[in-house]
Amino acid sequence: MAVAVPTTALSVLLVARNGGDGSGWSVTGIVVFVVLAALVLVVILNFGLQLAGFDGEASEIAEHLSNDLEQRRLLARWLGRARWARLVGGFSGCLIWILATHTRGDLLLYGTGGIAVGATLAELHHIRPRRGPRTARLDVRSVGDYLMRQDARRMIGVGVVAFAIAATGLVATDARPAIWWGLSAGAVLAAARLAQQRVASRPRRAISAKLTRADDLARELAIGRGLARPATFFALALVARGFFSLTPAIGGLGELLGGAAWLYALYLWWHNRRLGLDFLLTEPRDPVLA
Amino acid sequence: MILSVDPGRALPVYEQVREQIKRMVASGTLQAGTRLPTIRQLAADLGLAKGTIERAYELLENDTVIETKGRKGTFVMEMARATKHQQTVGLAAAAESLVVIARQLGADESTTLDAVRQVWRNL
Repeated sequence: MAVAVPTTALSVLLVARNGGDGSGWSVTGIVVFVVLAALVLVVILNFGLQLAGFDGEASEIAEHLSNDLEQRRLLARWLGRARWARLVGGFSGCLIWILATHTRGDLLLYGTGGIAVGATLAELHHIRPRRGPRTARLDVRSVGDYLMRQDARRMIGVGVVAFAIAATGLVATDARPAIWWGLSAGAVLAAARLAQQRVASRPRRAISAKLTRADDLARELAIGRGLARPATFFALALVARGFFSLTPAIGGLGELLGGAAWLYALYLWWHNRRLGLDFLLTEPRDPVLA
Repeated sequence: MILSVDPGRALPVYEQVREQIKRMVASGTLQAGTRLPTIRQLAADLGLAKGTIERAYELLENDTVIETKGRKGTFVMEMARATKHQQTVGLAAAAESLVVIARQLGADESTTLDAVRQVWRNL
């Protein structure tokens, strides 16, 4: 977006400068240019602010998750951190794509990889135990309590495919890189699983029932939207590369399956961009923690 | 079901955990079959070393208050029904300790029995 808008603005400037037929500035052209220049400024400012950690939408989304001020505060804090980490991760992935591959590599792979790494790092913070008396509830918290079945199934499914790709790469002598693509996808999913376990067992003292509910929702969002989904679309992008590298062994089928996996990864990323909660801003509904 | 520990107390922390869980089971707050948090989770929540909770759980297992069912987790056990003889022997030992403490505190018989009744009703 930040690249496309200035390019368009520049084109319009050129058209406006020449009046379309080289006769100088036209009024319409200047108006269009000013509007576009303002748009560019807004986009760049918005992006810069988000990178700097100002995320007004986080608290707006939290308002749609709960009516209670304390719950909202807790959720907004998590949303802000998670969204920022994903943004910085994705942005870094794109920078690496530009600097390391000179835009010849797979942007989806680098972008989703950055998001997955950013999302995982956002969940690895450590809460220091307090000194003196401590309290805790005797509640059991496990990944299974927070992870939606659909997300779990997707992770398992992609893991099985990744394993199959690695195994095929082992058998087919002319498709060795597939082993590494398959193993890498498996490693991404395994790392996400470990991070999920860490989130589920992250320390929680005996807080009020109201805050416990908000904390449970934050953990659910972190384990599903925060970790499972980025890991799945990144692993899928790796699986796509794996299928492509199997082409010498399985022919056009590798290209076909690779293309399908790549498109599915793109679809998943699109539906989960910015944690996939922006729909709450456009489709108001009853708060989750009503 | 809130556990509270204070590392500053003279009583070891694992004993504090053990005593509270035993009380919760005795009072019915923790029902038989209730799953308890993992050692790792409870240790993290209370900001304690894993070994401390491990020790408390071990002692509770020895007391037949809880049982660990492999990977399924740790569960509260059904309270064993003691025989009449076991009840007499166990209560006599506990009563002896109570009477010694009461005498040390200078409490008379009726005050001590009132305290027992009070605890019996509250638990």
